[in-house]
Amino acid sequence: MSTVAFEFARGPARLSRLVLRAAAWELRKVAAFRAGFWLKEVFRNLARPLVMVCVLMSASGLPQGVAGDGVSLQHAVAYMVVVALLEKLVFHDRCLDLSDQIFQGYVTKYFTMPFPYFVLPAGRFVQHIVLQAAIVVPAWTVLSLVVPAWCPPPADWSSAAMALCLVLLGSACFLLFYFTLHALAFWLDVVWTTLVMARMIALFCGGMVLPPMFLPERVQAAFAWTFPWWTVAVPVQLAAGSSEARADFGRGLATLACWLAALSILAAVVWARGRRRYAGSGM
Amino acid sequence: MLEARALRKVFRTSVREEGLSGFLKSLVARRHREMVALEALDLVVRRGEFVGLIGANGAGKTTLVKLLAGIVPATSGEARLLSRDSFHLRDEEKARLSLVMGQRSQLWWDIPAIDSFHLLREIYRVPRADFELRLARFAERLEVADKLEVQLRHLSLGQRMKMEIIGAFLHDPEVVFLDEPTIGLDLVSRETIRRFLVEHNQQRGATIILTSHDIEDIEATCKRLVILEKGRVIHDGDIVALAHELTSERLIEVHLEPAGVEPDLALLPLDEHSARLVGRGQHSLSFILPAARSQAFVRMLFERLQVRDLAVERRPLEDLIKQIFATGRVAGAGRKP
Repeated sequence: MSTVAFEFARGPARLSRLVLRAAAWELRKVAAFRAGFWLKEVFRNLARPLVMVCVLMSASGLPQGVAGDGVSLQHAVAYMVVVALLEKLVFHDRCLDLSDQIFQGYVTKYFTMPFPYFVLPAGRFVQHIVLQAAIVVPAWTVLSLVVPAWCPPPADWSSAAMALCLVLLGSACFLLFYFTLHALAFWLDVVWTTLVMARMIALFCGGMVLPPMFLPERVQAAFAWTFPWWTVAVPVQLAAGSSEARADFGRGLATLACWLAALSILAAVVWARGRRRYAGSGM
Repeated sequence: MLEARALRKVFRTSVREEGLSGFLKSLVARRHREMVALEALDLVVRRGEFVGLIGANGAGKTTLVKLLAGIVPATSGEARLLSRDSFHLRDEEKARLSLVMGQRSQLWWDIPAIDSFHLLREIYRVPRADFELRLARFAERLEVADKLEVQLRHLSLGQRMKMEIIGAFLHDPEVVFLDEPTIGLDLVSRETIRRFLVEHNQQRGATIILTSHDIEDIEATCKRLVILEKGRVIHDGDIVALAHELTSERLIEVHLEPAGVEPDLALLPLDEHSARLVGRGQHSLSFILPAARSQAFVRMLFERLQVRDLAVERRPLEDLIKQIFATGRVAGAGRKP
C-alpha cells in the first residue's frame, strides 16, 4: 500500500494508466454474463431499501405518524429512495474476492509481478464508480421526473456536487475498509462472517437501514464520528438541500480525509504483515 | 542469476486435535508444530540453464520455487535472484521474471485470454509492437491462435495452460519458474509445451526452472537435474551424463509361457552376466544388466526358460531416480552436494 503512494509519486501517468487498464479488465469481468450483470450490478442494494419503504408504508398507518415526532411518510420514503441511489456508488464487500484469492492461492502470481497489488482493487473501484454512476444518474433523472414526491432531484448543482464529493470519498474509505478485512485471510480461516458483520454495522452507522430522523440525537452524534455517516446519511440530506448539512460539509470532508489516511495506513500494515505470513497455499 | 545458500524454510502449522475435547482445548490453547520444508539447501543456477527440479511429494520443490521467486521469505539462509534478496525484489527485477503454476490458473475464467494479456502488457510495460508480434508468434507455436477470444472456461485444460504460458512469456522474461505446467494434460499438449520451452530457452537464453512429476518432461527439456528429498538436494548433475549412465544399462522384460514350468531363478547365472532381478510378476521377470552383456543374456534366457515374449529397453530414467532416492548417488553422473 505504501508502495502505491511511492509508485504514484514516481510515475503518476504509468500508475494511472495501469489503474484504468485494470478498470477495463474488471468491467469485462462483471459484464461476462448478462444475467449476473443485471443482478449484481444493476439491481444490487435495492432490495433492502425497498423492504424499508414497505415497512415505512405499513408503519404510516400508526396514529402518531411514521416516527414519534411525526416525520412524514413521504419524507422517510424519499430518504430511503435517495439512500438506495447513493448507496449504489458505495464500494461494498462483494466487490472484492481478495480473501478467496488468498485462501486458494490465486493471489500468488501477482506477488511476482512488477506492480503494487492494490492497483487491481483500485481498478475495481474505478470500474464500480463509473458503472454505478452510469446506472444511478439516468435512474435518478427518470424517477425524479416520474415520481418527484418520492424521489426528489438534488436541490441544486452545488448540493449535488457536495453530496457526490462526500459519497466518493466515503466510498474510497469503504474500499480500504473492506480491503483490510479481506486481507485478514492471511490469518483467519473464514473472513465472510467478519465481512457481513462489519457491513451490518456500517449500514447502521451510515443511516442506510434506519433514516437518521428515527435515531436519538446522541446516536446521530456518535455515528458522526464514523465514515459511513458522511458517506450516505449526510449526502442524502445535502442533496435534499439541508442547510444544516451544508454547514457541516467542511467537517464531513475533514472526517473522511482523516479516515482515509488512517485506513490507508492500517491497510498497508495489515497487507505487509500478511505478505510475510503468506505461505503460497495451493501451489 | 539464482542462488540459494544454506536456505532453510520452516512452516508453523496448528495441530487440530480430534474430538470435542480437542476442539475446546484448541479454542483456549492451540498447539503448533513446525515443519521443516527446506534444510540448509545450496543451489546455484547460471544464466541460460534449463534446470529440472524433481522429488517426491513434500520434498520441498515448490517451497524452493516460492523462495527463489520471492513469494515467501526464508526462515534463515539466503535466496538471491538477479543479485537481490528474492523476497525484496524491486519492480525492475520482477519485470524480468515469470511464474507459471500448473495448478492455479492466473487468467480470469469468465473472459477471453486476450483481455488478461492486455492487462499483463500494461503491467510489464511491453511495447505494443513487441506485444502483437510475440502474441501472434506464441499463439501460432502453441496452436491456439483461434482461441484467444474465447472465454477461458470454454477451453480445454491443455488450451488453458497454453494461454497461461503465453501470458508468462509475453514480456520476454529472463527467468521463468514453471511449477508442474503439464499436470493433467494430454500427450500432444505436453509435447507442444515442451517444444515451446526448449525453443525459447535456446533462442532467447531464458533461465528456466521446471518442477514436474513427469520424468518425460524433464528428459525432453532439461539439461540439468536437481533432485530434492526431505528439503535437501541429494543429486545435482548434468542430465546428459545421467542419460549416458542409462545407456550403459538395459532393462530386459521376459514374459514366460503361462502353462510352462515355474523357473528356478537360482539356476540362472545372473552373476556371470552382471545382471540383477528387479521385478517379478506372475509370468514375467525383469532384469537390469550392462548393455554389453545383453545379447549373451538374452541367448541364455531363451535356452533356460520358456519365453513367450521378450523386450530389451534402455533403462528408464525413473529407475535411476528411484536408485538416487535410495542411495543418494549415481556413479559418475552427478554429485551429492
